[in-house]
Amino acid sequence: MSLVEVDSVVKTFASRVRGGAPVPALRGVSLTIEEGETLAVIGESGSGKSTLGRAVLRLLDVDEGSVSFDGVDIGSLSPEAMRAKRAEMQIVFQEPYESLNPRLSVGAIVAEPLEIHQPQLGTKEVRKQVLATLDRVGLPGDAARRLPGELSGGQQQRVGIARAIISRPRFMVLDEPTSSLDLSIRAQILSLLAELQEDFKMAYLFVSHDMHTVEWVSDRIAVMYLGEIVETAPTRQLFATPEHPYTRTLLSARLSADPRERHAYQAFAGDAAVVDRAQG
Amino acid sequence: MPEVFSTPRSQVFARLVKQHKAAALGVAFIVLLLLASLFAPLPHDPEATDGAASLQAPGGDHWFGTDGAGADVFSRVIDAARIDLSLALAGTVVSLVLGVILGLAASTKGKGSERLVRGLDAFQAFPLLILALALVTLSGHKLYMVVVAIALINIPRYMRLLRSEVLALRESRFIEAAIAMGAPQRRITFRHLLPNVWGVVLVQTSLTIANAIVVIASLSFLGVGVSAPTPSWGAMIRDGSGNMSSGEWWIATFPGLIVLLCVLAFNQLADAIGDTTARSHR
Amino acid sequence: MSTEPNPDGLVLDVRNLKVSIDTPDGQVHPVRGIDLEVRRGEIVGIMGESGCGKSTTIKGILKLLGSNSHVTADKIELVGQADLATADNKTMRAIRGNHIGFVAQNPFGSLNPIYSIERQFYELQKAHKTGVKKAESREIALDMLRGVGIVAPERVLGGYAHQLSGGMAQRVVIALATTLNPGLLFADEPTTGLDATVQAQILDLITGLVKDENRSMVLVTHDLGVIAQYCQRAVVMLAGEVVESGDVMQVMVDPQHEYTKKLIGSVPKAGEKLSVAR
Repeated sequence: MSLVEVDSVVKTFASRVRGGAPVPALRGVSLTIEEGETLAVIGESGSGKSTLGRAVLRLLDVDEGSVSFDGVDIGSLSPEAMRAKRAEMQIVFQEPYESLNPRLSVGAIVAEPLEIHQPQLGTKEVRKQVLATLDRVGLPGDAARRLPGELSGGQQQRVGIARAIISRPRFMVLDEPTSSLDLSIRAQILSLLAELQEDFKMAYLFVSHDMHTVEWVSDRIAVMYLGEIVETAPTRQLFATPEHPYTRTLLSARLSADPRERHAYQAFAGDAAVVDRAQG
Repeated sequence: MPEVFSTPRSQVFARLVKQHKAAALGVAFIVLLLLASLFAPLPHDPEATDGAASLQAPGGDHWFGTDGAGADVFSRVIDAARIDLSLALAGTVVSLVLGVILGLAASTKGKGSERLVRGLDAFQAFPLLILALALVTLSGHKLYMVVVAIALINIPRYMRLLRSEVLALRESRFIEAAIAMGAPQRRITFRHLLPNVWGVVLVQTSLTIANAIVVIASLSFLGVGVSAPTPSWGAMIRDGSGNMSSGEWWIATFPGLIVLLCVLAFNQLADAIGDTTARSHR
Repeated sequence: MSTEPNPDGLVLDVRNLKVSIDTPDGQVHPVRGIDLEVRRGEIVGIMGESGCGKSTTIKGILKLLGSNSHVTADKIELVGQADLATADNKTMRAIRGNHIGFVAQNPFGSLNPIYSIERQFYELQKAHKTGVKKAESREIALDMLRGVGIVAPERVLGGYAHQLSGGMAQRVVIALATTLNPGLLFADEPTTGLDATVQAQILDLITGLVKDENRSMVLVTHDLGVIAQYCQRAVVMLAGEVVESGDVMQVMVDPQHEYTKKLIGSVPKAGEKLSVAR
């Protein structure tokens, strides 16, 4: 049994325009994530990758299919039981600042999961754990008293990570956690996430559009295209021998920072979306 | 909930005073006015009339002159602040509390909230000032009815404000983060939603006080609410308006000026609060 | 562009460019004296992280910064045209579009939301040339749109910016920027925020337009891949200064400055440790 099992999940959003056609975001998605592994979901805008991340955490309800965590169908859990389960399954968002309550101090933000899931802990113990967690993600102890707006983007993301790991989750969805960060900060955050995974044996669902990041971070990759997973393969294999034409297109669009490595962009033949775009 | 890490309330006050001199001046004016009306010895008894001293121009003994009955306009203007401002504040507090509670109720998903909003639409279709007038008159000029009248006019405004703010906030990432960490609804409301709407609520509150001062003045101008001989600005303006044409301008002008300054002060304060909270947001 | 003899093929020669900006908290200095040379047919990439002054540099040269900014330089010579360091607003308006085309990061910010695309082509041409006929402007616009790979240019021309996808809108902006046939293009993060597949198409397109017409381009980006794959020369900026510049092969393969090394080391490479020195 895998830690996370997603089975034939379908999710359709109502159109934003009144009377518009409903928008299918997930069209029968299945995947599994093993204890301690990183599965990357890669895709472009509109592929449904972020929707998938939220469906796996039941941050939105799916129309069809099921998501199991540790053998339990989380769609069937009562709201109470689901809330308790959330200690074990966490998320780090793309927008570090927007994901933090601007009115709460960093310490209060990071303490929150403990206050919710371990109300028996005394103030002293909570304080101790918060400071230890801040230290673990590379933030100085005096950050606890600051407001999120007083920190840099990289530090804000560290706060988001501290909040996610303090309840010792076994699984985290990382929704483009480094996309809005500068290159050198991105490297720090990626390294931190890799270390934390090692230390706490967490499984990651790493949602990203960046091939370089995904190649570095993941054990396996699922390629999403228009709400479907078109290919899943171990990372090295996917980069060496991509099966699906869309995967090949994505790989060819990669821009290596080494000028000696060149890929010519290959358009995806029969790609409805690309033709659509070219038509405006 | 014990606070493990206290959240700095960012020195809002110090910054307010420094960067918003007009607002600070306004607040000082209001505070002074209130203190004076409550504690300061007035030069004359505001309710005492003296036929012999009627219609005296400002100067010497009577700084703001005297009215037709010979009462000291200055003493009356200051004394009126006690009743007019207290009524305005009371009305605002009632509007604030009920408006926020109802506004929160109107900003959840579901049928009940929708019905509440539709009821609100219907209610606001009434000419509320006229409704208020009728209510106060029918109650036999009970002062608490003035408070009710102010609440009737302002509760819908709070509700709409709360609803639009909370609905927008519900979409924000940090609320999603709170849900993802397993926070119960109560915690989300009180720890995440409400603290982030206080800024706009405070702005609205300042504007509500200004509005309430005008409503009270309008009611007493029409002879409703505060009744003679208790001084109130609206009634003083009405009493003095007849004298304007015959040259005794001071009777209506000074209370009018005070109303104007009060409204200005609270509007400035609203601007300053809006400015400060918007900036500390990012 | 003028064709006067110019042995170096130098198109743009910037010396000691400084930009300072007045803010409520005092003056800041995003660009602190940089040199920049651009030769004919060359694509120069300016790279660096946010706040390094790379965008401010090209906006400063074009005088597109707000009135609270001060741009000074020993010279900003648009070779054969003018010294932009001392040019007045009128000259700058003529230079922009005619001699230097500008492609900004957010195409929707560059397009006017309430004018049709056709009208925007017309306004652009009218601003630089008197007596432009609408029909003539339309023909040119159709040509330009075809040139940027738009399959149904008539449809795009009649539409508005909000009807376009990000990639399409950027194509339209590129078409507009090249309509007056400038010899030099400035592109400020032209593909940031676009999908990788769209990014590759847009970069292929814009660099093709530069090569085919023997134009030159200054390309500002935070993406080292864009520098490595599309530029001939690289300029590395840090805190308003140039820390390293040279041939792309040299800068990206054998960087000399510590900061450049750190940046290149920050690009995730499978199986290798990331450079996380702070």
